[in-house]
Amino acid sequence: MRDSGRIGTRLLLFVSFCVVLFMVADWFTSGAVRQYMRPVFSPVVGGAERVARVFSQNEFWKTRRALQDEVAKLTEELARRDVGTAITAALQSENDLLRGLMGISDSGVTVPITSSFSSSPYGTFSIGGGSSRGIHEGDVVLARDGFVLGTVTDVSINSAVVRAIFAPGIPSEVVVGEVGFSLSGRGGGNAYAEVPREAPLVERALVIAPFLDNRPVGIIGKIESASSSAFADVYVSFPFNPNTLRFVKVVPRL
Amino acid sequence: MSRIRVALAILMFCSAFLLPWWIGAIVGLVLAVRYRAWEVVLFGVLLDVLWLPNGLFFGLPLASCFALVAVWLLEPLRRQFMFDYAE
Repeated sequence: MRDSGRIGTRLLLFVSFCVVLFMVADWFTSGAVRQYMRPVFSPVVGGAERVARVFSQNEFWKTRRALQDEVAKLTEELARRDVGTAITAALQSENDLLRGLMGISDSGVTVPITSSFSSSPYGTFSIGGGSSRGIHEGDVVLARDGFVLGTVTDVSINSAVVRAIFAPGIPSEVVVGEVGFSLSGRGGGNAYAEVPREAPLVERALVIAPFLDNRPVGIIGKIESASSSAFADVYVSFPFNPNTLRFVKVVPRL
Repeated sequence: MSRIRVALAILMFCSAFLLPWWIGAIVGLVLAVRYRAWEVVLFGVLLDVLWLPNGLFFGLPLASCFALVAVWLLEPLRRQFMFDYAE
């Protein structure tokens, strides 16, 4: 008993020592060690995601899965309508016009999402395209309808890590109409902000991020304000379920 | 290593790829309470290697730090309460 205890302690000491060495080396090389190791695990991440997809579409889960899909689809449809097709279309055409005038085109690449959104404690996910596809650090990752999902933070040859725009605790400066405020990410495609009660905000309004080339990042889902408070709680989310996404578009930042 | 420990470790490592990360965190905590679980430290490193973006928290690998702190801080607790403690 005592011998195995000693071995356990020694093993733990050895592993801890190696990990501390790794942390120090990674710190001093600004993440180069991590970037070197990441491609080793990328195929495992992609493979695991594929296995999960096959498993979830298995016959055994079919009934439950079909219902879940239907509910997700209907919820998504509802949310999509809520965005206000007319407003979005108007904004989009205005945006296209302005981009055309400035000579800017969204020449991005479409890549698959290769990981689950919930596996990362840092609000990150991986995509199946890297420097070989012309993806660079800082590029913007878009979902359908042009909503920003996040920005590329680490690039390998065939994969990249994307930090979600609403990663937990990450602040983002946004505007709604003429009101500017700071959003704090909550993870899972949700964010929160405190704004003065008098601010003319309405639910379902489009939230724009000026620092991401004036692209939309979400819609206001709910506004709550207590009569005793000078501030209102604003909850922002994507108008779609990010877990249903399979592909994203990566475009360079202007 | 006991079978329970191996099973919990597999579940923990799966959460880094497939399941929500907090499942792995809970399993890791359970392992760290019961055993001198060096695998929890490796799990922390794996999370950082896979998911830590550049520039976040000054590049500090938080998962590795938490794993190390959890495993070592729980050592006195393990000694005190696990009377059959050997692993």
